Amino acid sequence: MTVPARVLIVGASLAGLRTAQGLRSLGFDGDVTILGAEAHLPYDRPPLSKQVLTGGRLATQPLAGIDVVRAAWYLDDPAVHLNITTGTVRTNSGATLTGDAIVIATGATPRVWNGPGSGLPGVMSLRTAEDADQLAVALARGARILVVGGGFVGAEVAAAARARGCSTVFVVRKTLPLFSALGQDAASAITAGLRNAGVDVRTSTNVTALLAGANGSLTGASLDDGSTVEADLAVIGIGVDPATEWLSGSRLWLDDGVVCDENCRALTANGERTAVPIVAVGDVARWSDRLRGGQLTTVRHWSNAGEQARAAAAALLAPPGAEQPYRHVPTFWSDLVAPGLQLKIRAVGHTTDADSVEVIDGALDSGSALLAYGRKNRIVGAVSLNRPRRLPALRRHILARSPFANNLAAYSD
Amino acid sequence: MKVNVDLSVCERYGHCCFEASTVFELDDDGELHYVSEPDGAVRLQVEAAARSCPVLAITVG
Repeated sequence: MTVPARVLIVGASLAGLRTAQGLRSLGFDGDVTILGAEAHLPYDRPPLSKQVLTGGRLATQPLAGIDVVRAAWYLDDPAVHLNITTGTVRTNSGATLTGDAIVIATGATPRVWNGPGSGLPGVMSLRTAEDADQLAVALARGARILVVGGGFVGAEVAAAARARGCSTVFVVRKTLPLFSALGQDAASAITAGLRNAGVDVRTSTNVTALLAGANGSLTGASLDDGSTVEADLAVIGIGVDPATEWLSGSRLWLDDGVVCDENCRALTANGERTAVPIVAVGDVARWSDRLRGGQLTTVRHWSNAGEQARAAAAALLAPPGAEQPYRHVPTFWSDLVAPGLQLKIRAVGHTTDADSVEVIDGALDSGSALLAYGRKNRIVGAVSLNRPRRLPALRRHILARSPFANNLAAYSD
Repeated sequence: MKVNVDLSVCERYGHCCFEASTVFELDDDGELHYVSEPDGAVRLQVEAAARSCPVLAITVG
């Protein structure tokens, strides 16, 4: 592969920007074009469900690095089509942009509420700066908040709403919020913390309908336990889908993301690389993870966006045969802070598909605990609840695929 | 080499501890400790730590 002269990056958020930075840091001196669906230069999304809601942080505060990438920016104009033979992208406004290499960094979009009451004023997702600003204003006004969906966004919004003193109902389909992400033990401790902060957590419960008042705006929801809750704003956090709609018909292999080989290179539906080099990075990418025996893996966390971007930039510039497989141990965090609640959750590895979990240090009811996650007798993940000191050692054992053990001593350096 | 962490910006995410565990450590109270003048041999790890910081609290000189 020859080094491309023009790299076209589709997606102007963290992963897209970091790919551009990676290219420049590796000495790439060609043209970089970045196409974005939103009107803003890249900004950071994790604060949208945290400091933007409680700390007055500006939602659109630009990410560092924008000034050093020397890119041509096309913002507020989503891509609608990709031709993988010519490397040409068509945008919503009808513009066409062509690259000798394409970076797919379009992220993910929140799933919307499709049940009764969908589309009502007062029903929202939280993904963009505009969403966060709308929610922050509502919290400052003391709106009654209904959070639907038991993932990290839901838990963070519920905590932030309590931090602003808002009445908060958190409706979770599973037995506990964060059950899928962190398992029973950590989820129980987190749920207890949310309840202590005054969040009304309704577990194993579904919303049957979002309800509107005489003026057509949201007034609350009916639940499948027969109860009704009142709310001025419903935040729907029921997961995301990769933003791949614009790639339908492109002949790329799409399966819960853009399927890539272990070098971040997107593959066609036939499992082959494209003639014009294409990489996918961040939330939209699903790559063959050598650390997991080649399993197709998606990691929709902040750290992966940056690290995968750097790997993809290197892959685009590598001489034939010199590419390095992308190796990544996921790292993610969540801070839940409200009166009566102070939980810093720090996690490494793959905790969602564990078959064993053990508290190996501290105690869950003390509010300070370290948990190890195992799968098929190997350690695959670790979670700290306010007890982070040994996480780096555990991460090394995850990388080394060490045997799973139920005690901290087994994970010495 | 010189390392500085702006502790007023640091959110104690601990990513730096993954990248350069001989330089950065979070204790079990969640406080960050670091070596401000580490050996130059760990420069690459420290630079990776600075890159990994979600709030860019680390400067390397």
